[in-house]
Amino acid sequence: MRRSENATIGRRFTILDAMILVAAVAGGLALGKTISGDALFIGRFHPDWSTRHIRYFLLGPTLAVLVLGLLRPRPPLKTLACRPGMAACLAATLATFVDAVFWAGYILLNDPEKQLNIVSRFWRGCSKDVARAVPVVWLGLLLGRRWRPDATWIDRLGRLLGVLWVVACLVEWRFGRWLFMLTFHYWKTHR
Amino acid sequence: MTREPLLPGLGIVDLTIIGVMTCLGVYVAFLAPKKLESALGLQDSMSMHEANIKAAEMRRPKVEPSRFDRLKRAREDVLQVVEPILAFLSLGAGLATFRRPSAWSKRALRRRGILTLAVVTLFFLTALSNEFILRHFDINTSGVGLNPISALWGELTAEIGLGVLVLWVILLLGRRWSGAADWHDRVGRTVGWLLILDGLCGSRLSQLLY
Repeated sequence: MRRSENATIGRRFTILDAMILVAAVAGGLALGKTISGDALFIGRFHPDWSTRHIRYFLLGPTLAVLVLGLLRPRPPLKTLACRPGMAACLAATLATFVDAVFWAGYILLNDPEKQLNIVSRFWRGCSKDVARAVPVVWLGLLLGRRWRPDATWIDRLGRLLGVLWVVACLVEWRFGRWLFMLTFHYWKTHR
Repeated sequence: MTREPLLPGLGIVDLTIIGVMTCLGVYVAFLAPKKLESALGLQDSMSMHEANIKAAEMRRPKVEPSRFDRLKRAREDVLQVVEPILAFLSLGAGLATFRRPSAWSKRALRRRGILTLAVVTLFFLTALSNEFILRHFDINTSGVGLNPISALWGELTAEIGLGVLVLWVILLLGRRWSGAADWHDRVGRTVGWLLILDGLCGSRLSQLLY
C-alpha cells in the first residue's frame, strides 16, 4: 500500500455532520418504535427479543456513518472500504440491502395492500443477518491482517457501531441462548 | 487477479480429510433428523415440529398440488440434501488447508479463497459446537423451544452465505480481490460461491415462493 493511501484524511465535525446524525438517530428511533412491542412479548427474557428494537435503532446511525464517511474530503474508496469502522457500516448496510430486496419481492408477490406491519416484520427476519455480517467481515479483516483503524471521528464512530453489532450478534438467537439461560434462571430464583 | 501458488498441492491426507467430511455430510443429509438427534444424544426438537406440520396439513383444504407446488417441494428436498453436504465440505476443506502452518501466514490469508475458508471454518466450528452443547446438555429448558434440527443446516449456510457475499464485496471495493493458482484457494473460492448461491437461493428465495 502506498504511503498516501495510509495517511489519515481527517474531516472536521461540521454542522452538516451533526444534522445528518440527528436525522439518523430520529430515523433509528422511529424504526425501533415499530417493534418495541417485541420487548414485551413472551420471550422477554431472551436478549434476542428484548434487544431487537435497539438493533433496529442502530440501523439509522449505521447508514448515517456510511454516508458521512463517503463525503469529501475522504481517502480513496479502496482505502476506505477496508477501514474497520467503515467496513462494519458497509457490511450492515449491504446485508440489510440484500434482505430488503428479497423482502420487497415477497411483498410485491403477495398483494402489498393486504400486508400489515411490513417494516417491523422485515426486521424480525433480517436482524440476525445484519448482526452476523459485521463479525464475519471483521474476522476477514483481522485474519487477512488488514485491520487498519483510522484516527478520525468517523471511523471511531463506525467502530463503536461495529462493536454494538458484534454484541447484537452475541445476544441474537443462535449465540444468545446462553444469555437467555442465565437471565431466565436469574428471574426464576429472584422472582 | 491470480498469483503463484503458496501452499503445496493436494496430498493423500488432504483428499482423505475432504472425502471423509463429504461422506459424513452425505450421511447426515440422508439420516432422519430424529435418528441424528438420538445418535448424538441431543434434545428432541423434531417431535413438536412434526406435530405442527401435521396440524397445519389437517387445517389446509385438500387440493391436488400444482406443478409449481411439486417443483417447490423438489427444490426443498434438494436443498435438504445439499446444505449439510456443503457445510461438511466447507469444514473438510478448511481442516485440510489449515492443518498446514503456512496456511496461517499473512500472505496466504490475503488470498480470497483461503480467507473465505478460514472465516467459514471458524463460523461453522463455533456455531456447531454452540448448537451441540445447548442441545446435548439440555440447557434450553425454559419453554422457548429449539429450532428443529432439520432446519439447522439451511439456517447456517444462509447466514454464512450472506456474510461471505458481504466480505467479498468489501474486498472488491478495497481492491483486495486476489487469488492464488493452488487448489486450497480454488476450493475456498468454490465453497464461497456455493455458499453465496445457497444463501440467496435457499431460505431467501423460499421467502418469495411461499
